[in-house]
Amino acid sequence: MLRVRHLLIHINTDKGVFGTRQNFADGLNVIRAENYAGKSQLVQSIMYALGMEGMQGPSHAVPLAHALTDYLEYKESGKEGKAKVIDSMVSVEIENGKHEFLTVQRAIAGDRNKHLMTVYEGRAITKKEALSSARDYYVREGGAATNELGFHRRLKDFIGWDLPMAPRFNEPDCPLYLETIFPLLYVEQKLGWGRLPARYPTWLGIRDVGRRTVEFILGLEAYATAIERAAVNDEIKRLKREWASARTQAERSGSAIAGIVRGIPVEPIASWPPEVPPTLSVMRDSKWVPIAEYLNGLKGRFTELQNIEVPSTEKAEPKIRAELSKLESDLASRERAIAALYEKFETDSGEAEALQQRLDTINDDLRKYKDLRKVRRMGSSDGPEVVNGHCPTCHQDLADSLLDTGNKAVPMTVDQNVSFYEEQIQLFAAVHGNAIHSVQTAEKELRAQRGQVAELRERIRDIRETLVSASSSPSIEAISERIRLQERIGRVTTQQQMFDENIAELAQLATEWLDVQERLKKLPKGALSASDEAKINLLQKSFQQQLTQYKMGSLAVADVQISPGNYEPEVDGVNLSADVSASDLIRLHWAYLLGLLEVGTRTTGNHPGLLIFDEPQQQSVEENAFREMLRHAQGEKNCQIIITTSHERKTIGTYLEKIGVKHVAEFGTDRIIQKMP
Amino acid sequence: MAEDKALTLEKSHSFRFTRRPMAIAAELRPDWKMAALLLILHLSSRGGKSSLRRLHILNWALRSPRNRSEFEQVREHQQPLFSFQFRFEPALGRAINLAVGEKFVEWVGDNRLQITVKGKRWITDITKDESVMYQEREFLKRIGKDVTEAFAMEMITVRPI
Repeated sequence: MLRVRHLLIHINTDKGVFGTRQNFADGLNVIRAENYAGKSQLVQSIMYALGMEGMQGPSHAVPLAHALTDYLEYKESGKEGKAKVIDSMVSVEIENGKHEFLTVQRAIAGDRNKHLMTVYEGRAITKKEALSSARDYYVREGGAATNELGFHRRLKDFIGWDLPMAPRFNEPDCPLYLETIFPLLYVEQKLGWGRLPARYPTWLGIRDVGRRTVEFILGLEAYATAIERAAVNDEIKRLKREWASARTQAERSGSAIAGIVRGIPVEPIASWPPEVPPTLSVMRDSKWVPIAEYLNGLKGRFTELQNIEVPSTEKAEPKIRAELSKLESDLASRERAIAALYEKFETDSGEAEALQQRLDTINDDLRKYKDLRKVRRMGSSDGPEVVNGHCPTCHQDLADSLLDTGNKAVPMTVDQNVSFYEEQIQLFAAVHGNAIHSVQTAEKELRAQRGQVAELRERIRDIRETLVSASSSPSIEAISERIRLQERIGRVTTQQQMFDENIAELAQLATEWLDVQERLKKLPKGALSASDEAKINLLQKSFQQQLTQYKMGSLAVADVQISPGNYEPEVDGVNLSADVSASDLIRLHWAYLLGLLEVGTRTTGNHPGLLIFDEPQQQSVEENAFREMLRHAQGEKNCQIIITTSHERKTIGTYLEKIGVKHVAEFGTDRIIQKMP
Repeated sequence: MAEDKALTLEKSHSFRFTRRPMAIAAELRPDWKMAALLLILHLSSRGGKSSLRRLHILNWALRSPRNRSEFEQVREHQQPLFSFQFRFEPALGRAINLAVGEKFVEWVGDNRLQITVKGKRWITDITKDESVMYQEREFLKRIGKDVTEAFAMEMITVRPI
């Protein structure tokens, strides 16, 4: 919350001290004076005191009239005079929602640095409080919004705002500067009414500045939602990537020992382990066995062998002869199996390749059709006649095809053909996927079988060597079996460990996947959450109700909506600034800013409840509409609205009294800046 | 009454055939083929004119990514002439007749087909969108206007292997 409580303008001239003091109360404050009396200077100097002139542009010049900076004209006892300004300054007392006060003082003319503001932690003007707490802050320089001594940081803390970060065009994100928010709180007379809904500063380079500020003022979750959505999408991408990599690595452990990995889902899943837990199996005697069992078998055999002495060739001979014939027949049957598998592998690869070619062709044709559709949609004055179904020469009907079918077969339209191809692509892609999968499976199996065959051959060779060696020497077959076993145990153990590590990683990824899925679920379907939508609806209701009250003429009230995209007034197909009468633009402006005030001051909004209209009766809006606006403003709760006007000196006082406005400063024909006692 | 019933029964049992529209390749759409023809004349033919046989060769070369790469390999002498096997596509003949009717092209002396001002206007119009027929245009720009009539003649000549 923010309220302006007291304003003091103090000007030292060569003809004495001039200036003004104004009190501001809660609710509607009306300042009425004639043209040139200095109303605009009054409200503008409040903004200047708060260091807000940056909202009107990047200029560092003091945005106040010569009466405050160079010389001022005055009347004293009926005589006109001119006084030269020596120095001048403005001070305001402001109040926040915790009933704390702050007094800010800033130099307008004179030697003092215009970027410095002296801040007192209390009511230094009206109560002479906290005079010793004076501390200098700065504005309009780097860090004014972020540094400890930056005044706008002090001001936002005082108001109780937690400013969101806003993306910029070329620079890194910055906090949503106060200069971008205040255009919704203060409408300056000369240029402020010219741009609906507000004249946002563009020089700060903030993207979508209108959207960001309204989101902030109304406390919408939309921006936070957009950021969260981007973060969730990034996270999903990362998890998919890491999942795929862990999956590949796990499969690599399988192929390193001629094993096969099954049951790892291609896409991340949220509950781990999956119903059919992933396994790494290795082939033993033409059967796939789980790796643990396989390893135990190897180890058992190894211990068994260790406990018996290496037999001599002579002793081992009968046994290994029998084994040799068994191994040889085994080898033959395996080689047959490999041949069959290889055939299957070849057929499947061929099929996959053919399907790929078919897909490529359809894709190329689809691209051509899409180009063709563009060409036909674009149209051209020189375009061919035949596309309209006529022969260019004899104007008889002609099919949209170069096939020589006469009129027997009707070709599809281009659109039909496009969707036909799209379906075909889906179908063929699915079949192709199956074929690829089948190729990969056959490949794995082939590898496993070949590993086994190599092992068999090695054993057969060892046995043969044993059979021809000296009968008393130890059996070569028996020794090399021991060596082979040991080496195999080592390799399988390593790969099992790596496999287990990858599975553990997948389990970890699965919990992260669950988290991200839950975050995804919490995001609203569209850009707006339910509470955001409720707020936009409230804003629209208040907005439309006011437009009816102000008797807008150029458009039907119901057609003017609040856009859910940028939260600004919009009418389907109408450029509001161009197609609406000037006076209606002013009505729209009043209704929008008052609507924002109304919705933004509710519990979750950030509207400080301060609204300043400088001469809102622009573009000769009817008196009645203006009065209705005053009435509506008077009805607003929890706010402070300051309105200046030069109209209807005679009648407005009575009207304001009638509608219950207590705080009216009537200057008659006087100037606001007066000689101070 | 009974008769009525019999009639409705008969009706409900009668067969109906609906002719479904047929999917055709984009290459067989008249405006696609005409545009391809005009692009060949515009981008890859000297003076915007060409003989029929040369058009048939370039039409076939232009048709698919595979044809394009085969043609380019032959052009760059990486492959022998006969490795690019082209066909006379009947659709091109029809497209040429239509394009003559549309006044996009005209027959000029020496049995050459030449692109007209109107043809140029249309082709410029539709390729204002950079993406339209991008691959085709890039290919034709790459091979440029150097595929001569003599080259076409050589390609078409049957030689004993």
